[in-house]
Amino acid sequence: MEYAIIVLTEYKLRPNAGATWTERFYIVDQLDEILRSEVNRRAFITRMGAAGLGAAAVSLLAGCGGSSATTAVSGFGDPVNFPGIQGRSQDDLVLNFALTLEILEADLYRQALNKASGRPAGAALDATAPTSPSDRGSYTRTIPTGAFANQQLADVAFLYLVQYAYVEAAHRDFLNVAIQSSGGTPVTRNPGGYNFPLGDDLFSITGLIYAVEETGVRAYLGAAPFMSNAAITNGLLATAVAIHSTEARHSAAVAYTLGLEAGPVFALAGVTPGRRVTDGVAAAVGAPYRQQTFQYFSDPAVVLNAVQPFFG
Amino acid sequence: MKETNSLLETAAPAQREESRGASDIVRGAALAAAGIGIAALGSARRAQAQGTKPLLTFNDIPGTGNIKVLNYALALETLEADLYVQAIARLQALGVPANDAALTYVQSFAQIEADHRDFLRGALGASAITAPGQPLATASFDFGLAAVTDPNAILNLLYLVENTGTQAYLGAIKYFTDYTYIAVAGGIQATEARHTATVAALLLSRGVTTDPNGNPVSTAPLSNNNNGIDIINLEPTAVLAVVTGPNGFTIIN
Repeated sequence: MEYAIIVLTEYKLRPNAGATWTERFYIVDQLDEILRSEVNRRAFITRMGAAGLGAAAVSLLAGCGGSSATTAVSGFGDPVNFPGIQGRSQDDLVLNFALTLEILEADLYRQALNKASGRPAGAALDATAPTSPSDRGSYTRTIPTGAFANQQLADVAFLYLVQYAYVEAAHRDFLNVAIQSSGGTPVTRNPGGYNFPLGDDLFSITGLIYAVEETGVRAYLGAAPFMSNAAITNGLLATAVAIHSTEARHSAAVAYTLGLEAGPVFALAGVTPGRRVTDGVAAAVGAPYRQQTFQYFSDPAVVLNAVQPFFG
Repeated sequence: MKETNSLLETAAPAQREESRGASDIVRGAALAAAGIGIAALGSARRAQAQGTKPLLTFNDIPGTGNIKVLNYALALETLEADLYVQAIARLQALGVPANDAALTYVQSFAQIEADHRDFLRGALGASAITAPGQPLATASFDFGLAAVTDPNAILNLLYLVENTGTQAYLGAIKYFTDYTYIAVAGGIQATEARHTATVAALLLSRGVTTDPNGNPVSTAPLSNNNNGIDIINLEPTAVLAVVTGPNGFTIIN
């Protein structure tokens, strides 16, 4: 607890920190948690750094001990932060966590596209992927559009549905290959498949896609700080953040068709609880546009729990 | 080098300076008077003395390690925030209705970019490239928008700059020395990605399918483009080679 007191003192001394008591108690809670593992410690430092606490936190925590996060251990796991995920290292855990979500997301898009175009739920994607921003391959919408503001937005939503279906499949395949080529063991598709509450019109289907994409963005940003120091320089971290930003693009484009802000929006039905990157607090601040200044993140364990209902 | 130069091409600054036409970006964007330019970053006075806009590299960005990366981000956010202010004024002057989605989205993004700039400024304090006595302390930029008469050309410049910004963050990640600022940098980067996608959607809805460099306007990379993933190899120096130097935006200090 003395660590917490020192951090609180540092925090208080900074004129612009502006911490509320809720935030300070959050820090105390986090300190209890970070004393338990190297990985949590890093995630904490990452978040505190943005609040101007980086130096203080780093110097405090440098002596906390613990094993290196990069140690490769056969059957390595982190049941607290990545329950059910296995790998040889922290980086493996993050990649397999990402692959778990990409498999699910790709299957959501495949099923959604099949439903929207009147094909059997189990049909695979057509072999020919869209090759230009106006290309929707061989797909044609057959279900009602629903509550879109106009026909053009409905057409665009269907176009994005087709294009992103192939993109998510490409993300899945990319991660699968990346993990294998580094000697790791990728997670596999859920044997029972995936069940999604797909609506009967394009608007409601698009709404579900939006929620899942938003969760995906938050998930990547929550998991990235768990990666190793080597991942900073070897491109692995940048790759994870790059997939994260393509999910953000999808989310904003889908939001556009729904007539919504580009986001990120803090509180969204069906989306995992968000936390601020600046301080880790689970709250939004300020005017509506200010709530869109930084992407929110979700903790990996929270995400894994939230997507469980989709597993068949 | 081909005439429609891509912002994302990487080339040694020296080669660029020799081989680029004076107005590739400008002509592509239909922005008669614009060059892209943070210019003057480390050498405003030298620039004035020589009457030229210096071509900067990542080495010219103040600080080392994390501070250098954050200052690079701050330089780009400062440019972006100023671009949005000017873009809104020009869109309004061109008669774009207040309730047009193009204007409402752009106004929202303008506030967000200003917040990014102010946040980084605050975090960097006296080390900030915009702090008193530092090169961008009083900088504003001339994007040449006064000469633009087509609102779509303004949106297209925003698209190009946001798209570049999204990838600029990714290209700078490897220069961070630890995880201290990774989450917040990612938290900003994702919003740049969102802005890019939204402006792309706006452009497509207005019938604009090609960006100022002649590339297709797309909300996100398609599956046939780097596996549908934003590229991570856009080096800071490559970005600076486009936004600074002889072909860069004019800086007004």
